[in-house]
Amino acid sequence: MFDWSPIFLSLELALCTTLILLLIAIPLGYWLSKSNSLFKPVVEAIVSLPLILPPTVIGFYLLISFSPESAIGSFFNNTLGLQLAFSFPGLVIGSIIYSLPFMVHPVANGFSSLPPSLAEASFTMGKSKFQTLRKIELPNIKNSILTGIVLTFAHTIGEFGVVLMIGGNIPDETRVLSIDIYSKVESLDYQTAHQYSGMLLGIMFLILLLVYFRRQGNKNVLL
Amino acid sequence: MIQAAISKKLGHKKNAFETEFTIHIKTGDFVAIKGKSGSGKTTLLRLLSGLEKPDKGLISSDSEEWYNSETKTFVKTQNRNVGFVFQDYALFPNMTVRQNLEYGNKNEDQKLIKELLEITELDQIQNQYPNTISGGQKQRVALARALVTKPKYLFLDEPLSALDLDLRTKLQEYLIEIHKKYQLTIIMVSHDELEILNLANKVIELEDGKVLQQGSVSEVLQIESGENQKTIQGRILALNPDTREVTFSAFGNIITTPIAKEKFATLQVGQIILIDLDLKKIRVKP
Repeated sequence: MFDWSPIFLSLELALCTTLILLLIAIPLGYWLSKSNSLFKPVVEAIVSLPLILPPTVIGFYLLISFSPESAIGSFFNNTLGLQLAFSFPGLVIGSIIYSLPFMVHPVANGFSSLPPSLAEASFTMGKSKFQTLRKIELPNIKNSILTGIVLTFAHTIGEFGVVLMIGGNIPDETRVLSIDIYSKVESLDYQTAHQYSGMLLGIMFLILLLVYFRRQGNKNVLL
Repeated sequence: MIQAAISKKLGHKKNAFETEFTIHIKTGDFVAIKGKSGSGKTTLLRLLSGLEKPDKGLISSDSEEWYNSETKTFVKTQNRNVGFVFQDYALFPNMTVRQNLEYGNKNEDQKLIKELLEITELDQIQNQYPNTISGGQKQRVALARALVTKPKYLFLDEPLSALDLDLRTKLQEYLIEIHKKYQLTIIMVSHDELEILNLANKVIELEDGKVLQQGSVSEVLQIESGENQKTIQGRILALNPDTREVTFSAFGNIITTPIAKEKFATLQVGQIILIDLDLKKIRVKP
């Protein structure tokens, strides 16, 4: 039977993940593009890890660290009153980690692609680093930011392995669209699986179409 | 006035080399920094403007200390009151020509912006974005933008190198006008002797990261001079076969002088020549 709640839950998860990741990726990408620190390769490797690790491995470690017996799990449980395993907040944290490279890489590449003289010109005009970031650097990497937003949003909506491991299949809490499609197929409800899948395909195609239309004529964007 | 005695190590382990600069620039000077590529010209400019930090030494501007390695003083670029014209223009692509100027204008001084747009003849294109204007126009925007903060010192990193001869001559005229009008101290990196002759009154010559010599243009470029006679180097801008006159630019002016018939036939526009000038006879315009 067709139910809207997995769709809304997927969109809500993707929206939360994208917004929080944007706030993380801007300072992190800025630092990665400017830093000469010895720790930079370590941070780069950690950020890129979700690209090559199987989602089940990430999900497994997250599940362990979310348990109330672990330090992270007990911190969230005792301090913030949040139960992370098999809950929506846990899904958001898992998605943030899983989609980290999809937001950080485009943003960091965007910052790196700007000639250093742009920021320096702003400094010679008396502007601080923050003013330069806000008025010069961010507006000039808006296409990279948009790429990061779209990739993260789409990647989160399509997420399956991590969600299944840390969220399970709880209606209105963790049963997102991709999980529901899987359970519908398992229960041989092909009609609803078709409707969900068709809808997902349509949404994804529309998002990508919008991005490609937007970047037409703007060649300095990598997707 | 800028006084500096600084050193900085450049490059990585194997290719590292030490630069060492001791210089003295008077207020109102138009200084050209010349030298082969890799001699440290741009580094010196960046160190003086505060875009890079020296390893050791002292930099002062009048009575203000900009850098002192002993006391760990370092005044950031933002607080040095300098203008900088970058080799790659560094115009902000997200802003129009006018917005590029307004960005640095603290008090929204519309009068100054209007004046600068007029001097650099940019008023017609003030609402265009940098990617829609030509190289020469970009260079003028970079120049006008560097002046919008009313800097005490203007740093120019090979400002005219990417331009063709006509545009160069025109921009040299803008620079001369701006230097006079705003009584700036200008420090310009240039490897073009003609450009130096046209614009500067002082030259600092660098070699392998050290100051080889510094002094007036005639001292450093070894221009011979007598009471009424000067030998100068110039690039020919125009030739007039009717009057057998050659027009070239030097010392911030365009000079036209007649040349002997047999010599005239060998000359070409763009050629660099040494000219013995009888100072009583030359016509200078404007």
